[in-house]
Amino acid sequence: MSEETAQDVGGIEIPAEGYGTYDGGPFQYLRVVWAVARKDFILELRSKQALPLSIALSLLIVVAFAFSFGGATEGTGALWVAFIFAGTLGVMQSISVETQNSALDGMLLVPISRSAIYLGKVISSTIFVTIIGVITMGAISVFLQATPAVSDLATQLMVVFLFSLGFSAVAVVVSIIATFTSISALLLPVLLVPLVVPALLAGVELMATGQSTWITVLLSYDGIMLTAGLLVFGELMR
Amino acid sequence: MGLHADSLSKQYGPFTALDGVDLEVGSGERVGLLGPNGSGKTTMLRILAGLNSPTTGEVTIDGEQYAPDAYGVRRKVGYVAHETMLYDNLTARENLAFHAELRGVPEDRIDDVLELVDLRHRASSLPREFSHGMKKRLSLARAELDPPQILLMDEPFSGLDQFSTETVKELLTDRTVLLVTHEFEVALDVCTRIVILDKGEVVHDVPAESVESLPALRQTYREVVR
Repeated sequence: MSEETAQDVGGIEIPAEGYGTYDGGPFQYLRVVWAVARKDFILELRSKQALPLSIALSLLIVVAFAFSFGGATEGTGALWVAFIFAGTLGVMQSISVETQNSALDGMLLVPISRSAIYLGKVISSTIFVTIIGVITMGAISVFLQATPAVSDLATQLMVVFLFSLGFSAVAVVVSIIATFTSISALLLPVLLVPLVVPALLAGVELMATGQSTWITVLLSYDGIMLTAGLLVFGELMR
Repeated sequence: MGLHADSLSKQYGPFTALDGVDLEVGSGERVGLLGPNGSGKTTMLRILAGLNSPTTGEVTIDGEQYAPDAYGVRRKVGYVAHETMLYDNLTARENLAFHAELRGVPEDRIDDVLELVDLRHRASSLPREFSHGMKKRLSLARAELDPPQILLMDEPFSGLDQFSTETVKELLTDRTVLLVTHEFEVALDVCTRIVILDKGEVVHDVPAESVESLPALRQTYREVVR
């Protein structure tokens, strides 16, 4: 072996410094975040489990509202009920993929910042939950003939996205906690819903009034929950 | 150079999984960790791999403490568990590409490790289509993307066909390894040192060459395991 190599594994010389280049720097951190999120997108496109099931659930909830209440005044309620429970199902499915074959352990073994794994999962969950929210809005306009008081579509989409972000920031952590129990399917919504109440209230008010105060509330909630998740995730995994 | 586990203890509520374990694995040693079910072997490996934290005690690699943000130290340890730690809906190549990207390992290393475990011809297959032995080899390929100085393995030969067994054995030659096994024959064949764990404590630690025979090892095991 040359001086620059340290091992001869299976007849292949490897450099003394190894191959891994992760050093915790910002570019490499973001690369990990993107790798985790992209992996989730690919897995969902292949399995088609989380998103179709969640969308189906949200549509069923909207239809149930249509039969139960029928009036446009219940449209907002239907949106958030469907959004939360379908979103919970979606995140739960996304996390369950990580528990199969101990795939999450595989990521945790890698010498990288564990908060980057968390952030990648939050990004993919946010995209999924936003899609669920947008489709639910469409379903409500069809089945309940209801539209939010804030008629500007861009504002509506912003509300859905910001709620999805805060929701996902909490849901990823809570889902992983729930997987360590035998009743994760029951435990997750019980733990999650109370934690997202501030975001829910802000989202409801934003859709109803469009007041900028509630944007501040929602952004603050997202910031606090994301920061808490980034700080807690690594320790939680140990 | 080596791994030092110093007074490792792990409590799960009232249950003591590890109780003040001191273990040293020197460079080039292949340590076989034996013990009955529930003796703490897997707990030990998971702590050494950084997947769990000990209740008390510490782990050092080459004198440096093993910590979540000590990336250089963590790179020195690899772990191959019972589970593949891979995704059933990503191909073998995609799984390795994902882990390579996490580690910052160049893509051309993927072909090297697939070649190493003789799975290059199945690179486009999904792990769920693999036999048990092929899954184990793919899991080993994952660990070898950035070859660790110390390889931790949990039952690496369990359920393997002869070809997979020989492939794995070849990869353990001239490596520093700590492997858990229930198979005494494997321990004597592969390892340079035998450690027996029972009820969270090291109860026996001898060079493999000092073990006269397989029956002698079995006898010792019966004597030290309560």
